[in-house]
Amino acid sequence: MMADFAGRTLVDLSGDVRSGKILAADWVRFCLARIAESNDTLTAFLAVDDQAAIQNAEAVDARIRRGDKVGPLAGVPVAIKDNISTAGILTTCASRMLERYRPAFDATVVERLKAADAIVLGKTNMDEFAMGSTSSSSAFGPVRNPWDRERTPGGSSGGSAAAVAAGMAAAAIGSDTGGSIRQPAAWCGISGIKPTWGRVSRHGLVAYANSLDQIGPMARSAGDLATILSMISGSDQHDATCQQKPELVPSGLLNVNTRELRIGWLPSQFENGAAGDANLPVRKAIDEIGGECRGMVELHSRYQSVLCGVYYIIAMSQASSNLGRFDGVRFTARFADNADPGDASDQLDAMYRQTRGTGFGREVRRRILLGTFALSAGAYDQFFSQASKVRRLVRDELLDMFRDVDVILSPVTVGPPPKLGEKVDRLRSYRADSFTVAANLAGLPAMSVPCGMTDEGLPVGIQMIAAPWREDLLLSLGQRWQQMTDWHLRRPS
Amino acid sequence: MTGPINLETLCELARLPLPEPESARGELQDELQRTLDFFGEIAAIETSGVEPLIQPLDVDPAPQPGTTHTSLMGNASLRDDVVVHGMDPSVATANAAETDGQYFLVPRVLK
Repeated sequence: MMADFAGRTLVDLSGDVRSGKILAADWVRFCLARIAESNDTLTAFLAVDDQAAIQNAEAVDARIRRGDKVGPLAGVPVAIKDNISTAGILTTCASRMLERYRPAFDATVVERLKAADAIVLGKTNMDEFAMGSTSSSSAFGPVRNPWDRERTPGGSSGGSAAAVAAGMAAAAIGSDTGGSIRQPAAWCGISGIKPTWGRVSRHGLVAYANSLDQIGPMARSAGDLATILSMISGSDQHDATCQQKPELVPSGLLNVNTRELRIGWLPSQFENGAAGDANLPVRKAIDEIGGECRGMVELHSRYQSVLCGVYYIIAMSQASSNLGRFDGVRFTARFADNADPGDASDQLDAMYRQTRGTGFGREVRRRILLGTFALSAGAYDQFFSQASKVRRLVRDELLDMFRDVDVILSPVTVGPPPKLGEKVDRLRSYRADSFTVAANLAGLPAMSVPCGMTDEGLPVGIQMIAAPWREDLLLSLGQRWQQMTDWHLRRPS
Repeated sequence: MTGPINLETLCELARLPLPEPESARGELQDELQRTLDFFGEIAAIETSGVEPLIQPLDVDPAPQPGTTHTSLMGNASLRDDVVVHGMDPSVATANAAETDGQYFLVPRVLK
């Protein structure tokens, strides 16, 4: 009989793999069976490498039998978001533009997972180029939420979140530009952390908005996140923005005395229906957590109403520049009908336009156009420059708050996940990111952990934000919360 | 409020085709305009004398141990300036739409 792979934490199970109690190959086969069973419906994975996964797991088992040293993630089956490069394995960013792209190298984060003896199962579905919050803008079909298959899992790391929630992987790697790890983690009932900007190398991440993007882990518990984060963080000669901070060890990330923490929260986030009924569990959790800590401080922000505007201007501007590299020449498909456009010099331009018009989906084209506008002469001062100035004010205000508090608690989402195909007004969906974007603008670590259920039985997450480099406060508090409650142990039926 | 955008110029700058059919253009233009009006709300924040923040972490002035360079970011971890072997051209061009194994090929640009 197979062990209970879906009901236990990664830390527990990998301990059993290392001591030979269970086989890594069985753990991987369990996940592959779950994928075979549910992926047709959930579309969480875009590519699965069964054979390599089983072979690598068997190799880990063989080394354990021989008594060889194995890494701290020995046998742990992980899924990788499809905007993170995997050598020789399709990395499409859920876009037609990259539908045949096989990178020549592994992203640093993938390299480090493999070095720790984790087993890469495959690549997860997402919003095209990470631009969205439903994982429905994928060129290869929308991801469905394992808790309610008529609903979105959130996004853009929706495939990663759904894979972990459905037991298809023990953990997954996502990326977070404005909430893309935390929001799907909240809607899928799992834990996810966006580390400090610069904590985890982004070498091999297909850039969306460099000054906001951050790679991070998604798993079932704060303890599991700590284990993975400690393996993937640290400076990298391929990413100059990645900082040489003292090395992280899981025990160090989880041993903060949470009773000493000062908790901050923003009452305005719960006023005038801003957070909606779906966030009642968050409000309750804030009091419960505050009661366990040293004290609670009410905070006020001057910038809450403009956060999304600032965020989207910066994100789209950087996207318009980053996505310039997809031109039908170097990495991508070339979509051109070879019709003679006349002048030879026009031929190249026509090829660019046809390739980009066909390869990019609607939302991506739209964001490129808006970003191009925000950076153009005449609009630059009003949009990009003003947004970057307000960004400094937002960042400074948050850093000031951390003089008085250690962790800020807040909602993650404004409501439950929308139904697939539900018509959602674009501006409304942009504004729905208002609780998550501040951490990206300021580069702060932020985490989402489950804290309750809606009346309809959908998971709700609470966000914890700390000062730069203080992931230890978040993970320790998250673990304390998960000792007090069992929300993180609930599974979709 | 932002002045009306010129969709044709914008598409040209972004190397994107104008939407087809022509009737779709007005719809896109309206949608972009609405988003820009929303973005325009950030003008309400007083920012005179505030320096733009281009990347989030310029607050950590600690020099990096083991690095020999100081960059504009103060604490970027730059590698030493020595030549290292890069990617082989055949590997670098492997995903290209058209290549001769050494170079990327594009449609003719000269008459």
